[in-house]
Amino acid sequence: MSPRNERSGVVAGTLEMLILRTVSLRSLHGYAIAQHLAQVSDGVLLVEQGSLYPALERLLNKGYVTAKWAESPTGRQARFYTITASGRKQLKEEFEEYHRLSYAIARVMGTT
Amino acid sequence: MSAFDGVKHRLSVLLRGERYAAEQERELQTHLEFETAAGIRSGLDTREAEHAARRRLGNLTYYREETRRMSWLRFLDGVRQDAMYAERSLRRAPGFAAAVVLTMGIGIGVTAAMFSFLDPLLWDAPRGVESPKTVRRLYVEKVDPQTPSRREVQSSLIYPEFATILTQAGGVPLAASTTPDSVSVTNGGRGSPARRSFVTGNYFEVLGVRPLRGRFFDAGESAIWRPSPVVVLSRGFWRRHYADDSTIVGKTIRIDSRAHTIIGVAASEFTGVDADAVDIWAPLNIYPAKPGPRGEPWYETFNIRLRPIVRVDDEVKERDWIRRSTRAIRSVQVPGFLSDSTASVLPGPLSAMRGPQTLPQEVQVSTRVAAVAFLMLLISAANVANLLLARSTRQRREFAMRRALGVSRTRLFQQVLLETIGLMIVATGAALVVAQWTGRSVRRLLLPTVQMANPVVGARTITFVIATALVGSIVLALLPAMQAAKHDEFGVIRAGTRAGTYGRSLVRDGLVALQAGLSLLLLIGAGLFIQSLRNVQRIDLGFNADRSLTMRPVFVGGQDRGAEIARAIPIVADRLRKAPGVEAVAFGQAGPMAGASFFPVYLPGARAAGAVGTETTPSSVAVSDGYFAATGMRVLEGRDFEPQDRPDASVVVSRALARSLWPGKSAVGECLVLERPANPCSIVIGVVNDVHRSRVIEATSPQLYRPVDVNDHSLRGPRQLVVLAQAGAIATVNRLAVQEFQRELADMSALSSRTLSEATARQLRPWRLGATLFTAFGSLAVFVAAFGVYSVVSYTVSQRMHEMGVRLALGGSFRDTAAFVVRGVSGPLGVGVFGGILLAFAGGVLVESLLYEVSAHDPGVFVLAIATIACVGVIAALGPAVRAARADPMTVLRVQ
Repeated sequence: MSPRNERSGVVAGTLEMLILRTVSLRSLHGYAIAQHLAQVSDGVLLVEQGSLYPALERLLNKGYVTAKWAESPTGRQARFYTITASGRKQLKEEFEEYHRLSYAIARVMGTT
Repeated sequence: MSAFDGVKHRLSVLLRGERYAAEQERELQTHLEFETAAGIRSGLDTREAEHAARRRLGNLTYYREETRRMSWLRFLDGVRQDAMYAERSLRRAPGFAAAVVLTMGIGIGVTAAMFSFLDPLLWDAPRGVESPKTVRRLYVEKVDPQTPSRREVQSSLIYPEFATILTQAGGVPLAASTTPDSVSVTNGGRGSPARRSFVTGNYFEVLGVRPLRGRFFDAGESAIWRPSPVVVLSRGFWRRHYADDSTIVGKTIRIDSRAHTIIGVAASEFTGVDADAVDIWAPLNIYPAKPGPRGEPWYETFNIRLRPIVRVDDEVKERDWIRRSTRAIRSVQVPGFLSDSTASVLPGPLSAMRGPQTLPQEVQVSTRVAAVAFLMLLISAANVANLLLARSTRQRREFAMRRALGVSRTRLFQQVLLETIGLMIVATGAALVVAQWTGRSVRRLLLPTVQMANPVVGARTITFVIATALVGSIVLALLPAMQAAKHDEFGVIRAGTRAGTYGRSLVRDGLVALQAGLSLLLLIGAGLFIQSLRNVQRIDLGFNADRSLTMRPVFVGGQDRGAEIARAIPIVADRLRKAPGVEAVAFGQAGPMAGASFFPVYLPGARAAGAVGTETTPSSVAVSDGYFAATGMRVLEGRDFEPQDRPDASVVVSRALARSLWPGKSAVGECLVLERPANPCSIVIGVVNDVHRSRVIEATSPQLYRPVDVNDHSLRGPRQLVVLAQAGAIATVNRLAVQEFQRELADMSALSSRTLSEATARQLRPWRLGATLFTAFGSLAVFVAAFGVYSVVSYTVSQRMHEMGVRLALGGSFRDTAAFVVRGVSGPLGVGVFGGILLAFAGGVLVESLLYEVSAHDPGVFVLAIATIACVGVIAALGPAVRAARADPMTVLRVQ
């Protein structure tokens, strides 16, 4: 499966969960989030910016993350996203739901 | 506060608008730079790296649109655009806008005025009272002393009853106040009127009202045997008369020229427990003493009426207490006062109008009037709905065009809604003006003696107006929006310029019918009240109601000056007899309908002819010779009194008494024993016509007259002067009488002098009010409905001009064309009238009890009202009809 085609496979809700998980470790800017997702998934989850930024905007509107301009390690000014308390709560819920679902799917597929 | 973070973000996007867009631009730019740098690192050259980065960034416009959509910006953008569009399109139709604003303004305003009138009477708890739900007003159900077969609910107690309940029932805080009276207050310079109520010492405590300044009455000041002239002021009175003077406590205030010390000011909102606002509270023990007939102090007589309240928070405790107080009230014995062993105490809510007592007729009338005002609102709404529908039909092509261009239905509805809301906002302003003006008139008309505490247009009224306007605009906007949504846009566009022309609309006809029906209902109401008023006015009271004056000297503080009055009255009577403009003069215990005594009478042989407390007890008035001539009564048989007739030797009886005691024969020369069976005979020397005793509407009662004793200084002595003035001479006679009385009674403060018509005007008020208000609202409704018919017909005509043109071109006559147009509206009018008749038949029961000798289904009134509606409808339709018939077919067809 080509990683380039993978972006359409990331459902909007899932993308938000992945972003939340990423920024739950530390505050990151948009490019770093995309890089982190690509690296951790071994290039499987390649998020197009056209989806990334609207997703971030949705998270901002829901109050799950906040954004602040700060200096990046390379010395460039970038907009950093930080997870909020309700964002963490949401992440926990989605993570549990995901676990439940993937476990169930795995059971059906006979891999456990 | 992360839930708040989201809202904060949206708001910042909303408020910073362009700046936020720039920030996003910068963020994407940063992203591109990172991406490009990464590309260069992986070996691409700068151009290639930039290109790849931009490609990977995707559709930027989409992102910006998404951001706007997510914030409320896009929605607000739309609202702003639609609002501007609505404003422009309304500017182009100023007539339409004015009609909607005016109609709705009147409808909502009049309803709001009635709301503001009834709100404090029926719904709103008295302000400033702590947990008003646990305060009860007490009522007593008793035998009606006038008609013993009936029981009546009284809202007040005499002091002995109050004191008995207080001592015998106990256990629950019981307080009382008197109905406020009007006093004159002098604070330095000139006097000004104020409302004063006397209260028990614990009144404020029971109600949980706190003093804003100073204190309330202490035990000493409320003790009945230690009168102390102290008062508490209301917050409003303190502000109006003392400009919030902080050194108010301890100052002196002169009430009816007597000095009182101000000891406190009540907390802000408290103005007593009634709609009638109190300015000054005084302890009960300084009630201006009117001694009883035997010189008893006021608190042993029935001079003072107290309205009791208790605070109970426990149902069981309340029931027990009510039982104990019922037992107490049955045991009350006061000389001369009818004690009632069947009386019972009833608890009621603090709002007097919701208590078990029959509502005052004025309030009963005003609830009907409120219903009428609501009908007005419906009529106005129907009218506006019609106007909006007509307008939306005209805009059909425009809407279809916009739909075809991809504007969503929601958006179109939003636009219609905004247009309606805009109109309603202006109408709300108009409604508040109408409410203020109507509200003030309604108060003056309905309760002129009551000084209502709440402002005519207060917070609750404003809320009412805004809520009504809001609900109204949504409902009203739905109609045209639904109509617009129904249409197939392509069909409409294909139909060309004549699209949006007339199609018979059931909704539009229905609205015309509704207006006609409701207007008819109001006209019928007006007719019934006018008829009742005329019937009441026609009642013969038995006196000359217009020229016979009853005069009574008045002294400051209501002191009893019986001896002086009894001496002065015969002297003044003698002098006035020769005065110009005077036809006859007499005096007695009371003038027409101004009082009487009750005592038993017997036929010879001690046969009771009627005992106290039964309906056959005659009322008796002691009068001088010439009394019947001066009051305009008629001597039917025998003769009038003459100066030589001794008291108790002769009596004159009314026709009803004569018939009940000596049926079938003449009463003249018969013997009647007064008061005690052992008393000597009084000979009947004459029979006079029956007269009314106290009310305009009452059953005929037996009456007797005896010669007045000029040396009697009690209430049965000469107390009032009766003068029959020549037509047009009333003012002269009054002036003369004042001079003559002043010569005899130097310190008399005023002479009360009035004709019977003036005295009974108060009793006619409910019918007069009903007639006035129903007529006013009825005319307004008919006017609005006529305007509705006019606008619908003229709209129809303008839409059907093409058809008219064809008709006229084919040789249709002026008459036929005009008749054709009028016929178009007669259908809905007919249906409306029919519905109105049905409604009036059904609703008759609601006003039946307020009418007098006219059936709620009076055919004359119905016919007249129907005829009025029909005439008005035809006249309203005639204007546009004539315009249609006069049109030049060539011009019309060319334009179309």
